[in-house]
Amino acid sequence: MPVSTKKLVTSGAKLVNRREMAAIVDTHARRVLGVSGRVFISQWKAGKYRKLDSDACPGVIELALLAPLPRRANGRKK
Amino acid sequence: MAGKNEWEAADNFVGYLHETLSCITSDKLTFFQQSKKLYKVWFNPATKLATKSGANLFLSFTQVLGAGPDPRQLGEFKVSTREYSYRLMRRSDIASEEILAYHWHPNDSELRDPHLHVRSIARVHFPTSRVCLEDFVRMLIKYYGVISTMKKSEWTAILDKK
Repeated sequence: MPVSTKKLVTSGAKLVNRREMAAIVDTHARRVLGVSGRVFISQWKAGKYRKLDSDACPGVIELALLAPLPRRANGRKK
Repeated sequence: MAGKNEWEAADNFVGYLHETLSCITSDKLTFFQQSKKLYKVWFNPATKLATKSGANLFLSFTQVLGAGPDPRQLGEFKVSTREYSYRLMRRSDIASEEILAYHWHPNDSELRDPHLHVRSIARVHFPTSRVCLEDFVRMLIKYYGVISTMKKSEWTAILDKK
């Protein structure tokens, strides 16, 4: 479901919409891993990057945080 | 950070992050609402930090925020940090190696607890508690020579009140 971006931002932050966000993820994925954002998401869901971390691939954690990947309801769960 | 709905709570939280980050940069965060309950906030690109040595450092800051009803305040909504990455780098490029990085990404890998990466000691994930942004900013000023945008009395007041 599309999320409206016509909301008041009092914090002064730069609000981005879904299309802009997809472009940001795509740019990051190409820079960090050399694949498109769409390919990154698909391969991440398939478990390809499960053991990848910042030491081996700088920037991959930010990329994973920004990408629309599945998340647990409670992030603290081990 | 409370609000009358999820959006307001998230926006208020970002304002709070801005206040903390204003101790070291005037750059504004980028903000994205992925769903009613999930928000992302980060510097795009990494923000440049001036240091006393004359060299520049760069901060890549990313947080994933979860919003929901505040169980302690009927009708109010609150936001909490679900995941974070604070990386200190010598270059602004997202793919550049970090000097150090504090990570907590419980959803995205086999390593679910908060930890610290130090470039000079590669492949070690030093366990940490959850690191608050105020402590990270204070460390940058005290130990990495990052020049604050304000007087010491002002930045200490901001970082101490959180």
